[in-house]
Amino acid sequence: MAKLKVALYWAASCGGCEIAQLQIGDKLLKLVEAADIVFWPVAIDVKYKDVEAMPAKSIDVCLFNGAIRNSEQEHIAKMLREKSKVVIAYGACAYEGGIPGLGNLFNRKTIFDRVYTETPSTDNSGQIFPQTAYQVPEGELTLPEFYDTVKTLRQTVDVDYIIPGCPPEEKTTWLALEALITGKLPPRGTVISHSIKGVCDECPRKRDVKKVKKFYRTFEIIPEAETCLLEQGLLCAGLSTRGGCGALCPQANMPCTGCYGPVEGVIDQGAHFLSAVASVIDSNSPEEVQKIIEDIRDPVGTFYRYSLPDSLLRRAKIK
Amino acid sequence: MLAQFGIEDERVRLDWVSASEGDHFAQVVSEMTEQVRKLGPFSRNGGGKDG
Repeated sequence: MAKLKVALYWAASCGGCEIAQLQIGDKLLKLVEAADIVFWPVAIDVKYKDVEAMPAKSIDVCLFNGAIRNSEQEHIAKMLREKSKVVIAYGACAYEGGIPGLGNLFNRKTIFDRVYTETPSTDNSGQIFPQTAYQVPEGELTLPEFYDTVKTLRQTVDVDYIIPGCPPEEKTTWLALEALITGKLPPRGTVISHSIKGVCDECPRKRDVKKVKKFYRTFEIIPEAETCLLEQGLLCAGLSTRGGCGALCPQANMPCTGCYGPVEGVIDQGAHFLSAVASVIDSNSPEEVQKIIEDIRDPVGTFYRYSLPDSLLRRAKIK
Repeated sequence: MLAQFGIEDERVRLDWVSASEGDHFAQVVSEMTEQVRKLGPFSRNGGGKDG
């Protein structure tokens, strides 16, 4: 059998997905036995023009991580789609926008103002902002256009499969790679993970009655070791979040933040999480409820930690 | 959370109307409709051109 041709790319992301890919350890050797890596900016020196010169559909699989937040990322996403038979959204940013997707609470202007003038360590009296083109004696210099709105990979090109996670767990990555190597691919559109149920399903903590009088941030309490974290007032997204990770965070006393995306069948993970939280508040008095929910700082960042661009509203309206 | 999304307070209203209060129901619906009409459509892209 001819070797598979694999491309890997990063867009608006942190580099953690590359680390997750390397984390498969000696299984990498199995991967390179079965596949040639033709493009991987983090590890091999292949230029954009080299990819451009590849015939259409000549790459078998493209693992694309990162959200789409500027014109360069959009261009490369479209180019890799054209060159690849199978495109996989790898990780929370490509899947749902991820942490960079929280930029959708702002727009280009408010982000640029913050970064290039307002931050306390910035002195920009000349009001210099990034330009997409600038003339210098040597010619024209260009930068990609920064968009107002962060998009998911699926909102940009057709996507065949999704590998969830921030970053995807080693076993999740290998589940997908093994399917590719052996040619036993699931139906198109599948979110590849060991579970279609929630993180709670894999969590060993005991669940009893969810009645919460006060919500805490993680640094405010040390949770009891065996009881459900949500019952202890920590905003744990386990019940809205797809499992497959092995519920690692709750077992380390940290609430699930939702990185594997919504459970099967849910469109808007944040709304699902919010309605679950609303149902555990133990009060019938509007004033008391108001006081309880005031402890939830940054609700969008809590409920839509990774999924704002993929939510029903997609972004905030900026006045 | 709606404020973080830039959704105006006037777009959301929670009210209670008994099944026997037909007039009140009609009044609440009319007020709400008028209020939202004044605000105009809610743009999902927040007005951004590439949303």
